[in-house]
Amino acid sequence: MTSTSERLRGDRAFGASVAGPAHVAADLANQDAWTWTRWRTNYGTVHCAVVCDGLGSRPHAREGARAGVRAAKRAARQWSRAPGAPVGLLVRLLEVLWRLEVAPLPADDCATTCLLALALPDGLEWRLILLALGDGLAAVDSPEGLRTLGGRAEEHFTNTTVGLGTPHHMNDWQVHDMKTSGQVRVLLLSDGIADDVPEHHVPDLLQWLTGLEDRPAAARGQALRRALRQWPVPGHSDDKTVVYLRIGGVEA
Amino acid sequence: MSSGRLTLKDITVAAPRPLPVLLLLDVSGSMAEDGKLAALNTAVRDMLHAFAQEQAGGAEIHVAVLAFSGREARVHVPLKPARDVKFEALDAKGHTPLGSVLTLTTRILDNRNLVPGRAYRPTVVLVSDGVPTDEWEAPLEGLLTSPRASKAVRLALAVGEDADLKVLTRFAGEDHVRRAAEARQLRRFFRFVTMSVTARSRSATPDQVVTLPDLGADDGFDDLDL
Repeated sequence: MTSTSERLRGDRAFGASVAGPAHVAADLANQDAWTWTRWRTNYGTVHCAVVCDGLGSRPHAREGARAGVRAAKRAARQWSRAPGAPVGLLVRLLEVLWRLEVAPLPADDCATTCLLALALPDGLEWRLILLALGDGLAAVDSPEGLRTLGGRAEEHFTNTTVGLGTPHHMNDWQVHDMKTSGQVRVLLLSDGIADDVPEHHVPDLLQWLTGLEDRPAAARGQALRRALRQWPVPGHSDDKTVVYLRIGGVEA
Repeated sequence: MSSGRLTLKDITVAAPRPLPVLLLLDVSGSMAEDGKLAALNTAVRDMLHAFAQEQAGGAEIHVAVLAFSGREARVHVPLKPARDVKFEALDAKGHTPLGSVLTLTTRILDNRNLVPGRAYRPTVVLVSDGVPTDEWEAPLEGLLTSPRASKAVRLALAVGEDADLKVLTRFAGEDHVRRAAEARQLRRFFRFVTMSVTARSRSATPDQVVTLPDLGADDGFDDLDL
């Protein structure tokens, strides 16, 4: 990765998370968590988005998801300061930090899925890294086309996913590592949304979110949360989380 | 809400998440004895009626009825929403091709067109009153080792004294098998499964493990607070 001074043009990042009707009816808190953040390095500004979905059957799912977001952010920040380090180290660091974050709670009681998107400037390009463990969906729309990552593994049903805190292997992490130039849109969805949006409609969802971009932040957040609460799928019950990130081209 | 002309309704699925229930029903000739088949038909009809009334939950209960007798299993009711099922009473005759129905079950559960990934974990209920008359161990192994089908919740009911409890225990595990010596216990078993599934369909955590009660005459089963 080369160092460059750059100016980000027209980047947008927003997201929302709402408790699903089943949790609301049971007086339970939202067990999804998300963040978007960015930081400067000596080669430019790094963008990071995370979505974690605590496994509903676990007593500390909410804590696990929130710890997942913190761990992913910390891991990404640390890893991004070592350009050229293998992505496998990022995954291992995230796993270790998550266990430290949930301690002294048993990891199994805090199990959570994890989606991470990381955009690192690399000269005039972006290096985009998507990581996914468990269900939910990550998508990136770039000049090279739309790529998705995650989604429910073929052998799984709802709520039978793997995650941090469940038995899994390193190769259960799905990894997408790509270079792109120009404008990029990144989307992270918890399964409460991803399961209800067929993959061929992911570009439409991106378009729908793009339509919210230019609203004032407060109005945009309010509109997004209202849309998630009024989710049109009959009988929907899950927590729902979406993070949208658009980053402009890198200008030398 | 809309953004431009595109709305979320345009891009989301129109159906609730399914909660599949597969009934694997032994209708071999011996089921015609002692009122077992009549009790089974009544219990299944009551279950389907209860499922069809279940509108309030987040999940939509889907049911398939697989009957096994003669040489091989058949789909008596294909997997569909319970409210759409028109159940016709089953007849009993012939042998007990358990292996055939297990193979059919694995095939259905492994088919993502029939049981999509967004479905809740399926429940498979096996009811039998006899000893398998075909090769069943390999089909059972196939079900238990299928990455997908093996995730289903498996329950079993041994009907009468001649049922092969060992086979049913291999299928469902010791904690998920009960024996019904009389029609009343058979109906209790189905009522429990019905209540368990409907409770799951309304639950914030629909994949909680099912715990079967004892079916003894004085076990207070009727008073279970689910």
